[in-house]
Amino acid sequence: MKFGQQKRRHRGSSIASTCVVKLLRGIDFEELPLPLTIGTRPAFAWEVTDENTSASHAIKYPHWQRQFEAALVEGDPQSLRQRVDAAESALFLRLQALGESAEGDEERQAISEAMGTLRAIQREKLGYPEWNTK
Amino acid sequence: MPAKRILIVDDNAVVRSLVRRLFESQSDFEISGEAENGRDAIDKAEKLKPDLIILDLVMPVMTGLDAAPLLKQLLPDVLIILFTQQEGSEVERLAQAAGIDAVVSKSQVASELFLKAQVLLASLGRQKDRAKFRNAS
Repeated sequence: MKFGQQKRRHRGSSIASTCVVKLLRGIDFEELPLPLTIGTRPAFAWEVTDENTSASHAIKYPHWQRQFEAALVEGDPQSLRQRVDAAESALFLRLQALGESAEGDEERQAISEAMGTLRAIQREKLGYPEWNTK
Repeated sequence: MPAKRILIVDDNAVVRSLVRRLFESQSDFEISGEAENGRDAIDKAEKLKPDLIILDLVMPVMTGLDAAPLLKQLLPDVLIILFTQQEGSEVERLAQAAGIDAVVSKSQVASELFLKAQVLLASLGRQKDRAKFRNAS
């Protein structure tokens, strides 16, 4: 798939997405713990796009994959919470943007798995309490 | 009718911002405060006396499920909506046992949360009206 095609596919114009975009206007992202774009090279899920370009790979889920992978590889315990928060924010915002469109099913599944991984990091590395021990 | 006061409880600032904007866009709601975990929620609820609490499940210090019974003990009339990434019958069962009034998944569009809040608050209003009527007659 060419990069442009993938980009167009992500530009859903559902009513739900429009509402979320309106709601997000005015949020000062500078005040968030970390910028939503973190320049960490993704470790997996590269997708071959155009062999003639220098950036010959594109990540599969550009809205959240970088942030997620940055959380996975973060070694500094002080920064881990911020990385996890940034990844969680990106995943949540992407879910909202996807809305209820049927075409996002595969990505929703990937988001669900990524969320599960973040939960494990929160529990095992950040000391979050278990919620399902009752 | 006075605006319904809402306490937003989530450890993630982006989620809190989105929920805040969702409810602030409606005149019948006002955000009374925000909290970052279950323990913080109990402290804020005691001071702010909200009508509705939007409560995350997975948080540091104290989970939403651990905070909910304490919040209900503190404010028996408060409505609690669990707004969570976790889905399924296990979450529903534990939420009900903790006294939570409704569960809304974060994978649903945020407007679902708003609709659920409206329905719950309207239903609480009807219950109070019926109780007043019974006491008067």
